Amino acid sequence: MNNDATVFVVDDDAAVRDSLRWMIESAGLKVETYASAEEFLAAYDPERPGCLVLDMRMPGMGGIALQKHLASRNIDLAIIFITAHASVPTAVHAMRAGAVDFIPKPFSEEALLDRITQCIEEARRRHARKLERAGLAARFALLTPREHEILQDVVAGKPNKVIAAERGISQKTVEAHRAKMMQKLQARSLADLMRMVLPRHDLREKP
Amino acid sequence: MKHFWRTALLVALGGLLPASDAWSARETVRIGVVAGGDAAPIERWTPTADYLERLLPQYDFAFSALTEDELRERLSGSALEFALTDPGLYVQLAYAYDLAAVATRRAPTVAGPQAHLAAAIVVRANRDDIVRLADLEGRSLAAVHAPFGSFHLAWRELQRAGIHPFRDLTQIALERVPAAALLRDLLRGAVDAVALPADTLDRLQRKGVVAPDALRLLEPQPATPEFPFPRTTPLYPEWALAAAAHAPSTLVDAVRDALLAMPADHPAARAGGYAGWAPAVSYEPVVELFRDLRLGPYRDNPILAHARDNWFLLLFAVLALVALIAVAIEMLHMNRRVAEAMRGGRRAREQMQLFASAVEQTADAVMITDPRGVIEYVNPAFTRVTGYAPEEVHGRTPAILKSGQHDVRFYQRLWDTITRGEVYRDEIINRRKDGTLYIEQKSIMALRDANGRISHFVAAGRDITEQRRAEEEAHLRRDQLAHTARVNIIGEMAASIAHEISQPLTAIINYAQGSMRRLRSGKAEPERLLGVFEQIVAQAQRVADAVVMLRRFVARRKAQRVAADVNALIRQVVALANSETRGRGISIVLELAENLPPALVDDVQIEQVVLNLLRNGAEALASADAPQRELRVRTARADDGSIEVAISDSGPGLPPQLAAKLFEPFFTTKPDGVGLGLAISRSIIENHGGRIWVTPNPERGVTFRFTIPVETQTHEQ
Repeated sequence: MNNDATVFVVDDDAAVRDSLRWMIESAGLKVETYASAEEFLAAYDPERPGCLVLDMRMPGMGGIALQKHLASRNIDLAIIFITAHASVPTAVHAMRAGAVDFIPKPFSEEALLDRITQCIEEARRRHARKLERAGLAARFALLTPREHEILQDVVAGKPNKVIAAERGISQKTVEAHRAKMMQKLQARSLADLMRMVLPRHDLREKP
Repeated sequence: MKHFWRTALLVALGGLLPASDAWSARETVRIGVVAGGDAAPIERWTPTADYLERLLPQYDFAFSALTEDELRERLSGSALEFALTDPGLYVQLAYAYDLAAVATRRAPTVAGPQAHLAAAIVVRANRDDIVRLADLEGRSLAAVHAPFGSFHLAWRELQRAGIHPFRDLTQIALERVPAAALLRDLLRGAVDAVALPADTLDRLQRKGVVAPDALRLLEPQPATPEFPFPRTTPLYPEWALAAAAHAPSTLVDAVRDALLAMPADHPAARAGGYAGWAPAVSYEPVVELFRDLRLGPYRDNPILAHARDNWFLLLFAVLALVALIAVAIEMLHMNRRVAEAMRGGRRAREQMQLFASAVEQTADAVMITDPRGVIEYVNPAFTRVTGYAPEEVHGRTPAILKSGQHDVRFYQRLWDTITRGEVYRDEIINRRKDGTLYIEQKSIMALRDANGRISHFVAAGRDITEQRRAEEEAHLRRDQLAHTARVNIIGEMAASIAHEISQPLTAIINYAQGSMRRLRSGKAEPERLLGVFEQIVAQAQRVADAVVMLRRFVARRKAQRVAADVNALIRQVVALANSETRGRGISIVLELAENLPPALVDDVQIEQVVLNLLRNGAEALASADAPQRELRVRTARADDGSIEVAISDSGPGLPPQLAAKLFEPFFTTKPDGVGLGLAISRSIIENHGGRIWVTPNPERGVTFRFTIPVETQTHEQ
């Protein structure tokens, strides 16, 4: 279990804030509370995994504005909006902008805790994926240009013979590069290699 | 006897005051008379100006004839203190420039001065085919052309009868000819019906211009003793003298009192073609006519905007007492010359005549008694009010008016006051000859002879029963309106109030469920739980407070006055307003002065005013991207000791021409607003004896201020 995943509660109403902490902590989750979006932004480290429980209407920066701000900084933090003014258009707007949930106040503990638990699990998964991607990127960075070429060819499904012919090098040399490349990437099999490479292809296509 | 008391009065007053030095600084008072109506040519107003200048020597009165456009231009530029206009134009100008009718011009008729007018619609007596107004469909109608003439009056009645003049009549002839010429046309058969002023018809018939049996009046209204002429239409007020909003109240009161004291047959009145002045009568009928016909200000807006209450009548009642004093001061001012005149000056005798007739003509009931209280003189107004003829009261005492509503001490205090030589002023409930009770605003003073002994008592009283009743009705209406407005506010705020209630409920649920989970899992620490339960109670209290506030606001309740801490009222309202402002990202900053004295107020109404102003401010802030979204509420002790509350926003501010209109009913800048909030706020504050106004801030936005006097008992019994 990753103990780092934290529930960040941002609500300007002190009683709501404090009671949320009391309730969420009773489920064994780690909670931090903030009285305003500005206070949260000042304290938040984007590397920390977690789930944001956010009041929609607050003086100063409101919930939707904070959501936009986080998106503009490429901070991928799941948000659960809570609001006493559950209007459909704002809910739709918030969900389109990536909020994971939208819960009208007053809410039942189960509903909120369920969503928070899901959200925290999702955050942990995202965090794990992020760590994995970061490790992978580090390994890819170890490849020499020649090993990188061989990688492209292997992923394209070319047998060593074909690679050797196309590149004008001996089949032995291809095998040596390939073994080195697999070792650097810590890939045990071709299937393993494909799993590492495919997300990168996906990522590369993203803007 | 009459002559005796007049002399005594003048001589006695003559010794009391020093000669006036009012001639030193004369202010010009500009009076615009609408031209083209049936007002006399402007030069014939000179005697009226002279008359006013003689009574009010500190002013110069300048009458000028103006077209409607010129009147509007000068009124908007505050270049006129008064306007004299036909009733039709008056209600339009009153609507546009906040004029207030000061007096109503009385027209000379064979039945005496008339402050009302009406129209008669007549046909030839032998026209059996025209019995009712509705029968005029497809016929022709003629009337004298006038700005607010018989045609307009007839129009409304025709419309009531289902006839639209411009659609259903074959011809409408509005002629600039005498009414007699129209009646001749009618008798010739050139036209089917004629609308003309009711008193003109009566006059022409009396003079024999038309035979009484040659004509038939359509749908006659019952005659009244006040307006004895046969008529078809309801009564409407005569021409109005209206004061501009900027005219100082001292001037307005003085002019009103001077005009009301003018005898009907005064040379100035005769020159001006009128018969004296009446206290301003209600112009509501004209407003209703305009509204019915969708004319003037009601062309597009059928809602009655003339919601001004009649409280200027109350003011008038109080000041009416001053009327006599004004006359008295004038007498004093003249004292030396009058004293000379006593020895034979003809001019002085004229003056005497003037003032004596002023007392005869005044609307106040005047009674003069000897030092023992035996009545020596009463004026006609006394007879009108009490029902007692002079010969019935001469030789008797004012005890005949006793109502039994006051105790012995009350009358003892009255006697003590006047025998000490002080002026007694109070409201007295008296009984008329017919047994009915009436409320009289009374002032009594002693007159002394040359040796300083009391020679007479002079009592002046005004019957304010009607005003008092109208006032009470107005109060009731105002309170109902205020209640309706409060319910509306709560309706508009429903969403944010729901929010305000759901916040603590959310907290309570969270606390409770967090506690239950801990108890179930056995991880509950009693001390922490105790702290949480305290929180639960506090949050439940928050809900309860909101509900109490809501109930206070929407409950039907009698208006009441309680000694309240204005700061506490403000804090409560801010809690309510916060629900709305918070969501808009607006914070409310309080700067409340300490040690404010308690004020005697209707707490809920004052809260309503504050809430209204806060919501207006929030609206202003929301409509502009103000850098600082903040409402500031300040309380302070004003220079005159009253409590001043100021609510500032940093919104876009107000164009000055709107600032003047803000407090009018139905004025609104909001697309979905009704525009009653500020009008009701003003009526509430003024009823508390305070005032409400708005000023621009030096930087941004505006500040609304209102005052509440600390002693407000006198304003509402």
